[in-house]
Formats: sequence, C-alpha cells, structure tokens
Amino acid sequence: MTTPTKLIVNCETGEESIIELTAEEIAQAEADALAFAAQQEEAAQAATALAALKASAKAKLISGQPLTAEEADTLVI
Amino acid sequence: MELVSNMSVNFISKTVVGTNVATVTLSSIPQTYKSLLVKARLKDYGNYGYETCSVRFNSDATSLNYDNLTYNSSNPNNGNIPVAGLNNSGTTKMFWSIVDAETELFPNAFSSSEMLITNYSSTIDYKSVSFFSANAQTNMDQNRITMNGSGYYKSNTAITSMSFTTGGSGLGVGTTFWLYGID
Repeated sequence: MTTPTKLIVNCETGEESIIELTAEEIAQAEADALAFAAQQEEAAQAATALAALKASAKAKLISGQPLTAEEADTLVI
Repeated sequence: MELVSNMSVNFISKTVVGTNVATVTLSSIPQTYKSLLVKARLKDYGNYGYETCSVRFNSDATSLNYDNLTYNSSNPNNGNIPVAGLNNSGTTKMFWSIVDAETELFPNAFSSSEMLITNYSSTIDYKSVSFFSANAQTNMDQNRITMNGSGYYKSNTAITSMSFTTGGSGLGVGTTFWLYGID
C-alpha cells in the first residue's frame, strides 16, 4: 500500500517538497476520519429525531390532541 | 495590487497540486500583514461524490482550539431547505469548504472556495475566520452543495502554517491555493 504524501510549500522561499506522512500523521488522519464520521452520524440522528417530533406535533395539532413540551418546542420560533 | 488608498492585497504564494496528495501545507507564512486571504479551487481525487475540506493551523490538533459554525445547503433549487447551524465546535480542525471528487460527476471541474483570517499574526488575540464555498456543477439538477460560515481558531499563537486536507482521499491534481496578505 502506498504511503500518503503531503505537499509542503515554504511561502518565504517558494520551495515545494512532497514527503510521506509520518506514522503519527497517518494515525491522526484516521482519528480525524472516525471523529468526523461520528459527528456526521450524530447530526443525522438529531435531524431525524427533530423531523419525527415535528411530524408528531403536526399530526396532534390536526387531530386536536395535546402536544408534549418537546413537540411544542419544535413549533416555537 | 492597490484596491483602495488604505488597503492592499499582496500576493504571497500560488500552489498547484501536480500529483495527488493527502495534505497541502503552506508554511513560513509572513507575519507582516493584518489578515490572510486564501482563495482555492479544490478537488478530492477519490470516489466520494463530495467531501469537506478542512484546515488545521500550526499543525494544532487540539480540539478545544477550533470553534466554528457552518451553514450548508443541498439542492435548494429542488425545494430542500438549507441546513443551518452545523456546530463544528470541539473538532480538531476547521471545516471550511465543500470539495468534489474527481471520478464522480465532475471530472474536470473544481469547487470554489475562499477564506479570510484576521488577527492571524497576533500573539494576544484569537483568530477570526470567515469562509464560503460552492461545489462544482455541470447542470443544476445534480447535487448542488454550498458551505458557508465563520468561526475562531482559539489560540494566542500566531499562525505560521496552514494544512489543508479533505474528508475523502486527498487533494487531487489541479487543486490550487492562492494566498494573499491584506494590509
């Protein structure tokens, strides 16, 4: 497997170099990817839960049923 | 390049990715300006459709040092409501741009991105960052993603380097960064 590389540019001299990532940098990148995936999953779950609450609030409003405080919160601007 | 009498935009560097890389680092950034402006055309060389591009300052992976909010939209022309207020606080880097993948729908197109960093050379103040971006399109029926926002690099250390990477494979050939100093 090819080791990932990075392009480094010295803004003072204009010198460019391509070097392989260190083991620490690769580990950091893997940790970043896991953290980002977890964050995305959390955001998706929150969005799904909010949509369900809104749908439930709407259905109860239409049928004249009382809303829970959590459902009412989705309607308050 | 003199824009107005009391402000100037000074070219610092242009970096073109000639071979696919995981990261691009701009180092030894001059400390002589009031603000930094990054303009970029971005592409991920993977097979992911679209991804985010993030920046890490001074190789600092301290999660509490990054605090930003993005406002993303996805296909608003199809009736989708923009997703507002994605809180990226506590991450180990700053998410600042959308980026397209090379092998998907737009093999020859790039995302458009820009970022302004004030107080970057300060050893007293945090660094304020604003950014906006849009992915590549060939027609508006395809995935249309924008990502805009602002935030802080919560460090008193002057920014001397910036490292850019994507959530996918890495930065593809043709990706370009222009760095300017603003007085």
